[in-house]
Amino acid sequence: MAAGILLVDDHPGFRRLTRRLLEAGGLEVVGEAADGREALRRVAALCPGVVVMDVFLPDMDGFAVAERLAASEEPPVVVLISSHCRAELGTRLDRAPITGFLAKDELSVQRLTELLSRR
Amino acid sequence: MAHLIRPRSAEPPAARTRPGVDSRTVRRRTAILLTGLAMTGADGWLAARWGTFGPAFYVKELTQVAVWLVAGHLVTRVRPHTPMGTSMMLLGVLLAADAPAAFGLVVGGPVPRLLVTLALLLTAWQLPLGAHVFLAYPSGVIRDRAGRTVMVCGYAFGALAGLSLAVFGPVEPAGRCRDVCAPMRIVDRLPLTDTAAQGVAFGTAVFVLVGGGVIARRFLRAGRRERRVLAFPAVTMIATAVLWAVVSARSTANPDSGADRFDSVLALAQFASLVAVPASYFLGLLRERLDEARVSDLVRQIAATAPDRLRPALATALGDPHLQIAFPTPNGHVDAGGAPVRLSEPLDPARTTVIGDQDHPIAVLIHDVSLRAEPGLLQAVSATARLALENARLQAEVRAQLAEVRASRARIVAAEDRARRRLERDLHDGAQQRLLSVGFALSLLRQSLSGRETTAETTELLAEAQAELGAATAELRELARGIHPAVLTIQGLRPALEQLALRGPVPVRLRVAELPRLGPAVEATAYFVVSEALANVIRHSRAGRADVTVGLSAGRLRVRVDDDGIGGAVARPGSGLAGLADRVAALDGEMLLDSPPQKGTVLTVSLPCG
Repeated sequence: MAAGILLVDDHPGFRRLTRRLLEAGGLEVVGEAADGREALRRVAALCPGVVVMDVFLPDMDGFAVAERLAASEEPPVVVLISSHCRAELGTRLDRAPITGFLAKDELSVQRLTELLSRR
Repeated sequence: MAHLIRPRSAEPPAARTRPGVDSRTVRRRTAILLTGLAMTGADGWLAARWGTFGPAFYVKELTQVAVWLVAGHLVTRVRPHTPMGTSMMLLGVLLAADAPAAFGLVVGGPVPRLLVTLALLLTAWQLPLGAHVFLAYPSGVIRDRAGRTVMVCGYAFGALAGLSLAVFGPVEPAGRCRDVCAPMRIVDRLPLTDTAAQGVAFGTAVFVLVGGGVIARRFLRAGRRERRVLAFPAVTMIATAVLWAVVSARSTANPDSGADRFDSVLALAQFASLVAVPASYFLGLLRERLDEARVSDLVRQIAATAPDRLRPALATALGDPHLQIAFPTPNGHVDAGGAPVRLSEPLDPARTTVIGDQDHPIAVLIHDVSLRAEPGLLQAVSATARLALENARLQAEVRAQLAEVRASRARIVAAEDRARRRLERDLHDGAQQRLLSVGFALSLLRQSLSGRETTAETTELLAEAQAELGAATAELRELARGIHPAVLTIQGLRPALEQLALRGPVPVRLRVAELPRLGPAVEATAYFVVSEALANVIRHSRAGRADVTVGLSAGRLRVRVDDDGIGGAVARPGSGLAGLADRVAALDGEMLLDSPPQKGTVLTVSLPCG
């Protein structure tokens, strides 16, 4: 797996615990961002291999951020997460330039690793 | 300040006087008419006794005079409040007074010479007074600055022309007139006379062209209704002005222009146009009569005129198809349907007429500016329609209130939807996120305990906590979906209904047309209607299947849910269906429940979404 994960979510408590969960599972989290613009800046600065990002962010949604990242020279792998289930988000998930989607209650090191290994 | 019209409560003071015109004015106008007619008779006597031209010439001249006098008199009857008719009669009197100057009388002696000289001097005022009548049509008052400027110049020019005639005399005509056609003159030098005549003729040509231009400009700037009033008189006035200018130009070009008087084609054209001007006032008279007839029609029909037909009825009576009626309400002006009408404040008095008292106006008529010149017509129509307008205002007020209540209910529904969406979002973003975080914390705890020695009870408690947490998260998600389904916000009605159809134990056949995104309130209402109907199918109907059909037609979203259950469903007060019926009504929609016993249930909802 490519080096480093950038974690993007506007809920600081969720970010903190998710980071601990991922790191406890042996994954490296290189940075965090609270909204879409900060995520774009962090990606440019940190060059993470994976971006784990909430669909709904305060300034722009995860789909828009994913499209901006996909247009960059070295696009990272993007995994969207949400407290909504896949059925609620519908066909936008299918059209988005992402590697995969995980509902937040399914998020675990194992599921993430499985998803990334299927690329 | 708009013009206020109040119906007259008292009868006119005297039967023979027109409303608002005192008897002295009537006597003065009668005296002018009689003087003009007497002078016309005297002219006829002079022509018959000493005239040297053919009878056709004198008939032409005297007819012209008589037409102005009679038309002027009729106009005083039609428009008693304006000086138009009096001006026309005065022009007739002037024409009668200066007619002998052109008669070619063959009687010598000082009295005829003096008479012809006076007639000649008065000729100089023919042009300015004629122009005054032309420019003042139809109100009798020259309102525009250009017209007033032209008239000031015209009277100054008339004074100069009169002085020129008095000092140098006219050019002697080349026809048979050799006697009193050449009256007394102060300076008897032919070259000076010719030069003065050329100057006057040139000035006349310029004056009539400028005056014609002012009339043409006024016509071009007029509104549609005013153009209709001005059209024929404007054409005849401009034709007359052009002919006059042609005659003057020929006089300038040819000093021996006495022959013009006998140029039969030009003379006939000039006569026709001069007679056509007062004749066009007859058309005005006919139009006035038609107006009166229309007011009579209005009087007969007004009692049976529905408030929504009142505007066309008044528009017909006033001859103004673009008439608008605005009714004052505490929240501003509305039309007969209760829809808001924006009026520019302050009201333009030329285009608006307020009906009713200053403090309690009934209605505001927004009309063509030309109607301001016909206060009698406005007054008659307003008085006739006052009661109907009062009724229409009350209805408009009720309709406006009803519209406000509807709008208010729609706002309440929209506000409720917003609140539901916000609550759903807060549950997702707040409580659910925290529960997920707790879940992650428990997972971490489990991981950290896995390598240590722990009691079975600890492990069991941890597993139980994780299970309870999972159940709480699921319940919370279900609660959020019940408050407002996220799929509806994110994807729209069709995907939301597809998920809804999959959730129940009863098979649901879903037929949903391709839909654009609709208003949030419409989408949410349609969703909750289907949701409640399917919940009832599951709970009460004992149905084996349900059909949901959703389509868009004629600007309305149509939703139908039917089942093959036991029927007998009723929207009892306080039930979910009754609440939905209120919600549908708040959006101006319709809901029908057809549920005969043992024959299934059909719930149909139609929602406007244009």
